[in-house]
Amino acid sequence: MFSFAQWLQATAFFTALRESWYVYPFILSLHLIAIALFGGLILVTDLRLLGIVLRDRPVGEVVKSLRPLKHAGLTLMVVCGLLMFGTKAEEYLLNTFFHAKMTLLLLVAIHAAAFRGSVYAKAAEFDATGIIPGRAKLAAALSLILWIGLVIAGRGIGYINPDLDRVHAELITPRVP
Amino acid sequence: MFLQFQGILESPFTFPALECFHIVGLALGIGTIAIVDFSMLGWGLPNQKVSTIASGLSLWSTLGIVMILLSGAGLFASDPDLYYLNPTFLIKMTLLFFALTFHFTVHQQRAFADNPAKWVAVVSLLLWASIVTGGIFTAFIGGPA
Repeated sequence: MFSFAQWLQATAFFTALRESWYVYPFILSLHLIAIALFGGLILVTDLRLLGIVLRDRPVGEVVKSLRPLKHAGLTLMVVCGLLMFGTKAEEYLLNTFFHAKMTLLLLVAIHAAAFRGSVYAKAAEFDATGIIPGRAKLAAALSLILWIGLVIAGRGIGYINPDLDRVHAELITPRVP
Repeated sequence: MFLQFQGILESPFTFPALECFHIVGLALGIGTIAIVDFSMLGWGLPNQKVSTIASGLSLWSTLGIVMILLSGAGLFASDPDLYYLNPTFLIKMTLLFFALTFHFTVHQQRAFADNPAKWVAVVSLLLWASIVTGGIFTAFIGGPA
């Protein structure tokens, strides 16, 4: 894994990205713009399921019509994230907050798999009965917690600077216990 | 020129906590404004009037903007010299002034009056996107050498 990270960031493409002073902040800006523009879609979807916002609008319509935009935003976020990872793959792999963020992303995937069929695909049915079931509210609350956790973990990544020199030295001469 | 509140830097957690608050505020404030913009562009919530969406979300946009401004003021106060002497930051603040003015005048009037225009949505999205970019670049250019 670590040697893969070293290979990845040494490729001509990611070396060029790393050595340019403005490309990394530009990608980071796009990542944040995706959060600003599309994070709101996640918040509004979840808050609608919780019955807090747009209460006079049908749940099914809100969930369904915001979905394509959410997917576009998520794609932009992930692509920017992958590009940032590639420029400093070694550092990210050694960063505890990066581990936390990836764990949370895995949980987001599990959340989607667990609730897509029973909540998000069935949102229109909630309008017919007029009741938002507990599992939908649970899905929305968990989604809010996961995404706010992702923001915190993401910001935390910038506060850790792994000591790469020490790690490299240990790769050459393993530490004697 | 500005008073520095050293207290913000005393705990290692206050500054990053304010940053996280700032980012969640972005998602709430700018995110809900963007939903109105997307509907003006004909994306998003197609079967609904822009005024319905805007009136349902405007309080949340304002709440998000308040979160952004309060946390932003805290970040600024941690070390004012680092910010107000930085040209990138001053550009960001100028754009913020335009974005807030635009939002609370043209943008909201058009949305509430069901008089959407594509140019309004595009100007709004571009302004907010450039402010976010300005925030990131404040850390990269224009700071003390």
